[in-house]
Amino acid sequence: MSASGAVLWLVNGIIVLYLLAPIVVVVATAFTTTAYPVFPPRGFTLKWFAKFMATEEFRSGMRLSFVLALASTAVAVALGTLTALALARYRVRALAALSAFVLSPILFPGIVLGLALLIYFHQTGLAGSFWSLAAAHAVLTTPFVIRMVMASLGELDPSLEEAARNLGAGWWGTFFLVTLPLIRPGVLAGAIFAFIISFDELVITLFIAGPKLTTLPIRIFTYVEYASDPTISAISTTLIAVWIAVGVPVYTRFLGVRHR
Amino acid sequence: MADLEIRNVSKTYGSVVAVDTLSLSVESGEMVALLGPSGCGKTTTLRMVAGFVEPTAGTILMRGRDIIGLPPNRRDMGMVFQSYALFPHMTVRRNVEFGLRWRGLARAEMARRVASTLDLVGLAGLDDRYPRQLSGGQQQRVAVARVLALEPKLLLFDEPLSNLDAKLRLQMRHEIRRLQKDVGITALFVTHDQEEALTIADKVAVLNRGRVEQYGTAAEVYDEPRTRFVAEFIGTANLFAGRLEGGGLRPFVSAGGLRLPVEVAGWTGGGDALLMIRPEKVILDTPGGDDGLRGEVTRITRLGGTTEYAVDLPGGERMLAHEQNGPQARLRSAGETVAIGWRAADARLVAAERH
Repeated sequence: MSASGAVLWLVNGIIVLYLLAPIVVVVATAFTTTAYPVFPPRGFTLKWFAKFMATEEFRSGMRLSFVLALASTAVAVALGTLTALALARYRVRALAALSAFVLSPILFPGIVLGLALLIYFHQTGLAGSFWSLAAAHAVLTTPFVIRMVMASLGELDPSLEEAARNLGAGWWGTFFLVTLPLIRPGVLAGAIFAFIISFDELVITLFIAGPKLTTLPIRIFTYVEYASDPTISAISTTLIAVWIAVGVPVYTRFLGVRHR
Repeated sequence: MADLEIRNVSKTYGSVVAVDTLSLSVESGEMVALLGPSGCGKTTTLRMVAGFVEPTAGTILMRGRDIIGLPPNRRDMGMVFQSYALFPHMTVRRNVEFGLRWRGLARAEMARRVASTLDLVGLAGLDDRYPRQLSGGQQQRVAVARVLALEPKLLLFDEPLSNLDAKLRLQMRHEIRRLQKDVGITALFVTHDQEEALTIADKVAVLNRGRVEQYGTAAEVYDEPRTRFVAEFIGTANLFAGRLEGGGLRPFVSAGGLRLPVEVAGWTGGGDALLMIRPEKVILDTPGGDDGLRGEVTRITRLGGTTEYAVDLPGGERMLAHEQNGPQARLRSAGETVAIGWRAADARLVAAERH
């Protein structure tokens, strides 16, 4: 190997280590026998996982976060896909301004968005309900769906949709039989992003969730305020394992479809 | 009655005029080529007929019925796209079935039509392939089969052969023509390739700047061009600016002062005109009279079956002559002086520029 090749590998190695180190530490501390997270871990135990599973607060938080992420993702995917279609296919006046506007929630600080939504939901009397929370999460995640779907649409030959219309398909027939199957990689990627962001969301949720809607991130956040045992590490490790088992295959399949 | 009638149709994008009060009528069973350079409005015209573009003004009638405002899926037209636009996620069979499913056919009838159409275009047995597993020519056939299966009222071709290599293009040109004749469906064929237009169509509409410059059979637009644009766009033309002066065998005086032969009978234009003579009508070594035209060969280009000579005429004008490389042909050399001429009946007068 040449000297420059060696340097390249070294730099790459350092970057990978830098990115992976926090994850490695968290995973390792989940198995420690000590009553607080310590790295490297001492001994080996699964009792923190058992405690996580046995604690009703965590289980209900996980259920709520899962259902919430599903609901908000469904809303974001429907809205985002149709918006992307409109932005990509119609000669809309002031297109640049409009696409900047629909993508703006990505750029807003979470605190600003959270406060704005809190005021809005209070004035409209919708505060504290599951659907207001799902709507808030969808506001945050829809731009990611738009982004991903627009990238997919950019690679789609518009004459395919015209051919479908010409052959007799109406607008919805064209959408479901031609457009959607061909932009599915983008929709799927957008959905994964939306789900992860919603499942993980803390700042906006803290503002508007209310006392009855305690998501997993809120539960974790409040738990670490008074406890310091490695249960949180065990929860994190479980989530990482789930993403590797479910998210990675879906994501590679998406990339595989794209590069075929 | 005309099958398709385009009446005074215009399309403007802001201040850009893509199509300018264009009128065209296509008889039943005819294949009409829309021919012109890029930006002449031919594709926009086709897309207005298909329903993808709304005209700014004018009407389009299909069998006497106004179709403006009708969505593309209810116009009953079959379009073959330049990119073929085959659905990449569907097999050949599903591609051909796609249009049939909206027409409420029984399953058996659908299968029969798919099979017979694929047979017609010579693709029987490839039903379960995906488009990416087919060659360019085969994809083209699927695109044609997909619209023929519908038995539409009108076939629309948007430069369908421009993505094929030269040999295949010739073959598909004849095949599309044969299929269109067999099924007897009226067709519009957009192309920028004049040879393609002349060979494939019953009639050619030559478009320039959003208008029809001339509409006629291939022979008419080639032999009797009415404008300078048509004369120059179709084939190769020698054009001399000048004016008609008196009569006799050589009534035309070119800008360079040459007296040239042309038949004036039937000419209703003014004194100022253009004289057009096709290179293959030019005769070298004319057994000329004393007033015969002479010129110097300045460039020789072998075009395979023919040889092209560029000949400089006295007065600074230059013209091209084509000679068949037949058994009697004698290859001339550069610098040689040749007697040059043509039959008066082969030359045409074309209106001088309007502006």
